Amino acid sequence: MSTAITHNDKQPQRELVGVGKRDYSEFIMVAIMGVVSAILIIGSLNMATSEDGPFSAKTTPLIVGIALAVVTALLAVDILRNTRMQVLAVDGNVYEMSSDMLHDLAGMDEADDKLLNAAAFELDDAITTSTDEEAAVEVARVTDYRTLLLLVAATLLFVLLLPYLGWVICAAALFWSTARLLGSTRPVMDIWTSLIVASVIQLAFGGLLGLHLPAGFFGGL
Amino acid sequence: MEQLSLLFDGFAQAATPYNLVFVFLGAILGTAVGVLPGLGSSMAVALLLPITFALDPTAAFIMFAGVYFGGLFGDSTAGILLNTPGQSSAIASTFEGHRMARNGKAAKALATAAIGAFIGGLVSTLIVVFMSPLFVKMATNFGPAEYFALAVFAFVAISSVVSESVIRGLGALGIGIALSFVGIDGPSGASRFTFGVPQLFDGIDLVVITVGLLALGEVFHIAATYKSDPESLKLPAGGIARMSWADFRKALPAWIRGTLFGAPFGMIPAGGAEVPTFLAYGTEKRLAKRRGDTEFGTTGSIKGLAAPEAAGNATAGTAMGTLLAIGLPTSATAAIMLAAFQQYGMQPGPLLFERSADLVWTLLASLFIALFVLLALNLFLAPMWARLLYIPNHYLYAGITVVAMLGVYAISASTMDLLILVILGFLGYLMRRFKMPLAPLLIGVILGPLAETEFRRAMAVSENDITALWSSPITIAVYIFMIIAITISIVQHLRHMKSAQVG
Repeated sequence: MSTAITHNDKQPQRELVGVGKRDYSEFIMVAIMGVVSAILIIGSLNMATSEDGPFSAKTTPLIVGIALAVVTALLAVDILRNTRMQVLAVDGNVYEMSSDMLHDLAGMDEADDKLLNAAAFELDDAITTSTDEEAAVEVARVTDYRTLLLLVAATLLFVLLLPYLGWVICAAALFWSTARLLGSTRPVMDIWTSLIVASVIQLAFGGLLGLHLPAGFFGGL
Repeated sequence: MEQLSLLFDGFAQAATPYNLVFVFLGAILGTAVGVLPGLGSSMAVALLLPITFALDPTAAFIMFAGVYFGGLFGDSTAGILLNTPGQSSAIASTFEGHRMARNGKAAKALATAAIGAFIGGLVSTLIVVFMSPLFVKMATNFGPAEYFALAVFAFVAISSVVSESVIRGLGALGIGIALSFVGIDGPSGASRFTFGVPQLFDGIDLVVITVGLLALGEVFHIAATYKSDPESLKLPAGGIARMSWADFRKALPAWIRGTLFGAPFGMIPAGGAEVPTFLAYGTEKRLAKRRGDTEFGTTGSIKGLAAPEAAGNATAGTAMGTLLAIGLPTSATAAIMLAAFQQYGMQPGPLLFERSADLVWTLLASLFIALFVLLALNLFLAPMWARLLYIPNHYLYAGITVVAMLGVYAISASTMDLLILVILGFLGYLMRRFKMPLAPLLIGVILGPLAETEFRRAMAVSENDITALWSSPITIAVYIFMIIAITISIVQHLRHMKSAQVG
């Protein structure tokens, strides 16, 4: 655990998630990958095709499924044994690209490495302007499951109610609830904003471009 | 110079008032989405793509030309003023660009970025115009084995060589390829992983996947992490973007160097503009050190911004050419463009230049028109774009959610697609949360079917002789190139691991 401690020393209390305690929530990704690979393997073994020869419609899914199973196992081992990911979560690196590679390409010094740190983009300024703000950003980095789940619920409700209530009402409701969940402080004014947004889209796309948007029960009036 | 007359025909097609409206519309929308904080150029293309489906193909592609480059122009504005690059290809220009803005040179930085993006785009689009016959000729020599090798190269490069964690890159790639299997298999007619749901027989639309992962995933991620809106960090644009003649002369060599770095990378499937922009930035940095330039890394160097900006757009230009002539998307944005072509029943590749020549040349001409429009828009309307940064984030993300739903509904008016969108949005959130790269997944979805089809074709031609995959000079060259890239990457990781242990 010595590596984790030294890294934590470098990045003091920037993020509450993953600091100090082991976080196994990444096993969600292991589970998803495991399920996908199981579906690929079982599905391709039971697949009905009329082709003959060694390479048919089931070959590639089977190969990808087995390869994905191997990668899934590697990821599980990596999470269990490796603290590097914990450090990554703390650092918030620009994870789309290898920071080692970008470091070399840009000819950076060790001191510049924080530039490759996504969190630094926001924190850099926050620290210099005020400590209150730093604290605010810090708290913000804890995963807010309540807001997340409410927002997912709002999008699901939109999808399910769209055919019945129509575009204007559903889109306005979705806009309103997203804005509210993400911290809008003027719910009453937002009602008008969201209705205008939904109606403008209906007029522009339904009216001008001829896109068929569901009218809902308005269509029956 | 047959290309020139074809290009002029293209200009004649594109320059009708009706079509020009769509170039403008695309340029404005593309820039706007690119400027919005946290939204990159690939999200601009993904979000705006479905909207164009209501148009006829010519108008849609003309509009897309504007969106394609517009997102890249806009990306740098947010990076410079706000220090929030929309996507990783805009990071390299943010380093020096934001330093300039913080030292009161925002107008100069915006002008440098706009002109740089213009030069990079212009030169690379010219390269495409003049090289396209060569590309097409090259592509006609490509058989199934060659296309399979290129796809494998893209898979390996994007999931392993350029990504932070090889395991997570490969995992994302696997999920992407798995998503591409869903639907009726073309050659055999077998139904694969549709679970008997009729709506899945056509497969999962690529637009649903990109909008879900990029747009909705980002909104969910913001909902889970974000609580405050640091208004105080937003810098004013400082009037219209402008620069002095002396600055122009100073930046010119850097623009040209950046373009030279960017253009070749558009033809290599290595994930897009990240590698060339960082390479360009690194070169300027080394040159600055040699010259004893003190601006670099302190008050912001104009060259350090000019080079990566030109490199980014140069990559986008040649990536478009590679997509059109060879049919191979070399970046996530190009992959979404490929989806646009397929939506209209066209398959990019050598045949596209024969079958839909007028559309291709109209598109190329529109790219030129779009570049000029974008240069004007970004130089003279810089303060207007900067105002977009002041839209409160909750309205911004509420708008993205609604537009994402609209776009997916526009494709097929299907509740099933919207449900898949929400599920993939959640997957996009999880991948962001656990630092799993998104680019390999998108490349897996796009190139998965191509790799599979070409593999089966190669096997059919060679009568199931697996060595046929590496028996031609082109395939051998591609695999050798791939092994070199892997070796360099391994050496790099080992070296950094060692230095991390020492330090």
